[in-house]
Formats: sequence, structure tokens, C-alpha cells
Amino acid sequence: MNKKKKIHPHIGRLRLVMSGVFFIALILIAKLYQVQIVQHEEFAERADRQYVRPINSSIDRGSIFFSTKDGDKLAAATIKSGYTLAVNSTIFKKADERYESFAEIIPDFDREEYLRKTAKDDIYEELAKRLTVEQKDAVLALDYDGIALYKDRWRYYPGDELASQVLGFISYLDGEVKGHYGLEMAYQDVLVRNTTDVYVNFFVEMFSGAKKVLTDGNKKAGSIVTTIEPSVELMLEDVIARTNDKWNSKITGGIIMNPKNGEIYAMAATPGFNANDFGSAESLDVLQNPHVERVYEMGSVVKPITMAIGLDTGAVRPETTYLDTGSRTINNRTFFNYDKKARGRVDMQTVLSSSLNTGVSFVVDEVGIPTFKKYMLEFFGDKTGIDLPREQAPLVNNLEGGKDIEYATASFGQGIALSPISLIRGLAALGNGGYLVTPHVVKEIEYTIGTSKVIEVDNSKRVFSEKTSEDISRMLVNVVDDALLGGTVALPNHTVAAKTGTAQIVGDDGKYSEDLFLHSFFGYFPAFDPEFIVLLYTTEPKDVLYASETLTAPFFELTDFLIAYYEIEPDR
Amino acid sequence: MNKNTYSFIERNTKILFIVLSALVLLLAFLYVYFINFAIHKTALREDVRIETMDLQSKTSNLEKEYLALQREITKDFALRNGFVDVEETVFVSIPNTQLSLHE
Repeated sequence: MNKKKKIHPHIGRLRLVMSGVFFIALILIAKLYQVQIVQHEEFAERADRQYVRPINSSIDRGSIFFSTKDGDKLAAATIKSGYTLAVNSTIFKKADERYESFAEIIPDFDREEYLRKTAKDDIYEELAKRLTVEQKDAVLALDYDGIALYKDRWRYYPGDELASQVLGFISYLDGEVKGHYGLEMAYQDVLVRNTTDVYVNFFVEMFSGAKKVLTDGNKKAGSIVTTIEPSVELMLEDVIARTNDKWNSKITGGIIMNPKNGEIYAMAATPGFNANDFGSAESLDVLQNPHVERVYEMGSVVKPITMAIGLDTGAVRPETTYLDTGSRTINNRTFFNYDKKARGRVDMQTVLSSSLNTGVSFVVDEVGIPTFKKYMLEFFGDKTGIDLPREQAPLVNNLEGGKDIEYATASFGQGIALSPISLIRGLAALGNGGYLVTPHVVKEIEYTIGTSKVIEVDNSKRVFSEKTSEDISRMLVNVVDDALLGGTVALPNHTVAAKTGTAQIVGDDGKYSEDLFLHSFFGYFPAFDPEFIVLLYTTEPKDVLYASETLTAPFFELTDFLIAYYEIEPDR
Repeated sequence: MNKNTYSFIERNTKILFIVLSALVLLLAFLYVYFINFAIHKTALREDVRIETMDLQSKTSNLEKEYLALQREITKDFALRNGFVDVEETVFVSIPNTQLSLHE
């Protein structure tokens, strides 16, 4: 009996599935054959001509912006992309005769170095870096074998030296890109991005994209908008550079700030450095921001604060008089007026106009040391809290239980060391109604996720009354109108409150030098509703004695510029 | 699995096989489709990012040029080009030119 063998139905289905699997495998094998064998040459050639390179030196990082007075943003630090030209000298031929074709595309293309590198038996030698897209296209058009272009990105500062001590710079440290100095350091957690490879792993991208949405891991990443106004910064840097050259000073610096809210429009010191080439800085010192990271004995620009303390406590009034004998001896130490002259009975206006050391020490006597100390520590007892790194706290140990002489010298800015940023904050209180503002250079953070945060600072701490602010401002306007260079520099239509300072510098022997000085100058305007406060200083100027000679002209050049640029209405 | 379910499967084996096979094929197709879609969008996003960075580079070149030119515009430059300081400054008051939709 020929009984037909019965096939189990599952076997049939299994065969069907197996056929499907076999069919798909066949397709994959066919595709692999096509890619690996048939199109091998084409893909190999394309791989050789890849522009992108799998290096981890390509960086991504948030931008830093300046803001113009009209509210526009201008990049202060950004990411720039370009191409690195490399050669595989085992393939590259006719190097000598091909030099000219490269030299036409790349300015300053070094022939000797080119020939040396192409003569090596090496598969990777970099010939030029940071080529533009146009240069890259021109090189590709040459169609030379053995030439490769690799895409690269780097940190770029369009202004070069502009505000470099505020911005700082970045570099590799322990395999990580980190900000050093300035905002690059202070806002590292906002600006930093994961170092990105220029190759894209699609699956990683997809899932990391989802992760970014689902977690808060990327919420902090963003760009920062500063209060620095580029035109004002340029002007300040130009003025202080010329001042530094003219008087052959060691350092000249300046800060321009809004005295009402602490926004810093410009901050610069010379010598500075080019943030795009910080390695060529003349010394490590110039990388620091001296306004924040250093302290100086600032001299007579502190006198208006002492006088304001006297006015605020009611201990003195502008018309109060005292007997100026030209010098005073306290705790067996004698100090003099700057010219060692006695002026007899004079009022408090003369104390400021003639910058009398004996006069401000009289104010301290009238106020009383405990009260004077309390006020001074309100001003200079702590850091300002500026959003820049490594802020140096004022050195005011002499006010902490010091001798009477220490308070007397502190009243005219000697024996205490202040950072310029700490000083300008204190001076701003003279004109802004008595408030201690928080100086800051960042006003907004723009997050990559699309939101933004406006930086709010605490400007509510009050140290003087409105009346004190008005009285001291009036006295300082009189200084400019009647005393400063004989009243010749006063502006006819704008009130300016200002004061000079000339401080002795401690020499290497630990004693005050007879020929080393720090000159300082501050002023705010319009005096009774100030929009700007300017602090200038220059250390160790040569062949000149007083700040009125070195810094008056630079100050009024800046004042004229600011009044014209911001169209400040006349107030008299 | 109760008896009814078992008998239902026994009775409709072929149909179930076809339906489940079709479902597997559909899901496989959707998987391939969405993966391709995602890869396409990721590639586009990367292209846009690269283009953005290229534009950013070009912008920074212009910004550098702008700042360099601004450095050259000084009072001396203005004086060399015919600028003359006014002898007497006259201030004018500019009225508010903004239009208001309110009465």
C-alpha cells in the first residue's frame, strides 16, 4: 500500500519562514558584495577625500555677546569653523612644482616648511590650519592625490584684544576644555558643551536628543549676554593705551559703570593680551583682570567717601571749618598735606578742592572712630560679588582694631588696599542716592532650550541718605568747576562730579617710595542724576607728580565721548 | 488557556498565521520606515548645525572687520577727513515722535 507520507503543517510554515530569512540574508550578502567588492574603489576614494576628521579637539561652546547701546548683540566670543589642510606624503607627488598653487590660495604659506613636510614618508602632516570655506574649495579644485581637508572648530574672539581681561579664554586642561580667567571661567557651567565629534552617530544622536528633552541635563547650557558696550570699550582701551604710552606707566586701567544699577559698560587695563593668541602674552600677569584680582592703595579718591560719612552722620557740613596746620601727628607718626602747606582756617569744600589730608582726618575726629570704622566696613568690608572670578577682597586690616593713625590714613586712602571694582562701587554710592550696587558684566543668559534668564542683582543696600548724596555731589561739582586745573576743564552744559587721587606706592624695601605713585581719577555725570561713573588709574607714571596732570585729559575725553554717544541732555 | 480558546486557535490556525505574519511584516516595515525617518532628520539637523556654524564663522569675520574699522575711526581720522569741532554747541529738544493708539 502506497501510503503518502503526511507532512505536518508546522513543517511547511517553518520552511516558509526559513525561506524568508534566507531571502533577507541573500539581500544583505548581495548588498555587502556590492559595497565591499563592486564599489570598493569608489568608497575608498571617497573615504580618502573625507573632510571631516575624528579628532576630539573640535569644540562646541556657548557664545559671549557684547551689547550695543541700541540693544543689538555683537559676538565677543564665538565658535569658528574652518579646515585643516593635511598631506599624505606617501601618495603626494611633485611637491616642489605644486607649491605655487597652494601659495596662491593660502597667504604666507611657508615654502621651506611645506617642502620639509611633504618630503617626509608620513601619512599625516598638517600643512595649514584654519582655512576658510573658500580656501577649502580652492584646494579641492586642485584635485591632488594625497591631499586631505579636515573640518575643525575653535574658540574665536572677533575683537582680539577687546575686553580680553573680562572675557578670559579657554584651553585644554586634563583633557577638558575649560575657561581660564574672566567670563569663560566664571560661566564655565553655562558655556560648556560636550566635546563633539564631527562624525555623527545617528543612534547616539537620536537617543541623546530624547534624553535632553526628558532630563534636565542640558538645561544649564546657553550663551551669555554682557553689559559691555563695544564702542565704549574700544574708546576706553584707546584712551588708556595712549595714557599709558604718554606717561610710560606700568599699568593703566579704567572702568565705566552705570552707578545706578552696577552694569559695567567697559573695563580695560593695558598692557592686555589678544585672546586669540594668549600664548604670546608678555607675561602671566597681563592675563589677570587687575580691576578685580588686585588691590591698590588708591589715595585721595577715597576722601569724598570720608567726607560723605561726615555729612551723613551730621558731624560736619560743607561750611564747617577747621584749622589746617599742614600736618598732623597721631600716635607719634606725622602725615602732611600733599604740598606740606598750611592753609589756616578752611571749610570742608576746600578740604576736597585742595585735597587736604589734615581735613579728612579732622572729619574722622568729628565722626568718631567707631562710626567711621562701621561705615568704612560697610563699603569695603567684603567683596563686591561681581560676576568675575578670583575677586580679591579689600585689605582693610588697619580698620580692624587699628591705631588712631590707621583711621586717619585710611580717610585719605592710604594704609588700606582696595580693588578698583570695590572702589568704584563705593564711589557710585556718592552719586546714586547712597546705594551700594552690585557691579556685574552679565545681564542675561540665553539657554539652548530656548528660554532666557535676566540676571538680577541686589542693589538695595543703602549707606547714605539722599541728602548726603546731593551734598557730596554738589561739593564734587565745585571741585571740577573751581579747582581742577583752575576750573578750566569744567563742561559748560553738564555737571561733572570728580576728584583726583595721588597715592604713594610701597617700594621693594617695604617703605613708601618718594618717586613711585599711583594716580587715580573718578567722576560721575550728570552729577545729580548720574548715568555714568568713570574710574581711571595709572601706576608708576614717569616724570609727573599729580593725577590732575596725567588723568584729567583722558577722563574728559571719555566724558565728552559718552555725552555725545549716549546723547546725554545738558543739565545746566 | 481554556478549552474555548484552544479550539478557536485550532479552528483558525491558518488565518491567525496569516494575520500575525502580516503584523510582523507591518511592524518590520514601520520599524525600518521610522528608523530611516529618524536618520534622515538627524542628518538634516546635523547639516543645519554645520550650516549654522559656517554662517556663525562668516558673521564673526564680519564682526572682526567691523571692530577693526571702528578702531580706525578716531577723532584724528575725522579731523583728517574734514570734520571740524563746532564752536558753540546748541542743544535741541526732540519731541517724542512715537505714535500712540490711545486717545
